[in-house]
Amino acid sequence: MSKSRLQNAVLLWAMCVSAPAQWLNLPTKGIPRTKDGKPDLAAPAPKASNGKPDLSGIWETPSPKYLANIAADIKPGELPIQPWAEALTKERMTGSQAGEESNANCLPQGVPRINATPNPFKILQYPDLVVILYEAFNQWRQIFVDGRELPQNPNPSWLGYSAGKWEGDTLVVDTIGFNGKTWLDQAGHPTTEALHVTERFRRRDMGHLEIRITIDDPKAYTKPWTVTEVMQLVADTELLEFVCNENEKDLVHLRKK
Amino acid sequence: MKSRRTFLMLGSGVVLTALPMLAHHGTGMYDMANPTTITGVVQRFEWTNPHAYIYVEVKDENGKAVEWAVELMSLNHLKSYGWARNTVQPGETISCTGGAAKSGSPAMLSSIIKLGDGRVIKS
Repeated sequence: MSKSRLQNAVLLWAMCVSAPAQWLNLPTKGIPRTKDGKPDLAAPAPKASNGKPDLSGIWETPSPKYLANIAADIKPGELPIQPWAEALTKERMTGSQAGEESNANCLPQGVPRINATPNPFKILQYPDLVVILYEAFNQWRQIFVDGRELPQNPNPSWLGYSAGKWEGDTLVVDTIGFNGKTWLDQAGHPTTEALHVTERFRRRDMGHLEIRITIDDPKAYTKPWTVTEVMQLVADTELLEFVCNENEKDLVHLRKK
Repeated sequence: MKSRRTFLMLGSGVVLTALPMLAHHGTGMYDMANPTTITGVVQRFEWTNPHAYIYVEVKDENGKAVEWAVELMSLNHLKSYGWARNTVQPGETISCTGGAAKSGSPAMLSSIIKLGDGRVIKS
């Protein structure tokens, strides 16, 4: 075998063994493409086999805006927050309690903050169940779409108990049963065990997933309030394993001396 | 070896921008408003979540070696910027730009890194 043929053979072998190994670069099936082969993010939203909108895919927030402050779109002074919660948020915004928030301690972000966390999440949609796999901290949620009611007196939890129903092209998800330990954002807007989150998932088109979020927590806010976040499709990749405690080194700097 | 200074650009056409999208914690303990650059020799590279770390030996004004802990983003973000587990190697000289720890300890949250081969890459 000549040198050039040997080089070609080695190159071909390398391509053969590396292509299947690169899961992170495999093209996602079922996505319409533009002429240059890129995902057509403006194409119409797909339908599931049962005729419902298909929310499946890997999604990610395009910016840390709502992670930093979920109330970023609400005018100053117009957030219906109770005085104690407002005072606590102002204190948290100084950074003095940064080491106390769940996220910094590798504990779950809670709902809806987990959606705004800048790691992708994968929606798996079945007729009676929607599963969300979150890369951040290897978490998951089950959203039951089988007509069940929300549980009575649920065990307090980080991500709650979710039941959904379709209203036209929108999946309306109600979640309760929180433990009140999470912050809604890095600013520090608090939650309590009374928190009831409604997320209205609507796939605007192939590449954009709107989540209209209503926060109803009568122990911290004076009335329900709503924000809208839009996620972008992350095509041609996969989730990564994310074990938060593997190499956590920040907490010692975040905690008060 | 040491070059620590405030600046806005590293390499041609690369502007230090962006609020870091940290999944794991806030950035309050780092002085992101006043970026700093350190240059030194890579001791080890930890390709891990929730953040990757590069430990860089930097010589201070007196020639004394100080090991800096340079924090990077989580692996998914680094992957999207073009990083892989072997992007930096021990013994390589790199420059890291980001917010130094407000505590004064030799640590920073990096935004941009200039690799030994001259490539400038988000971090």
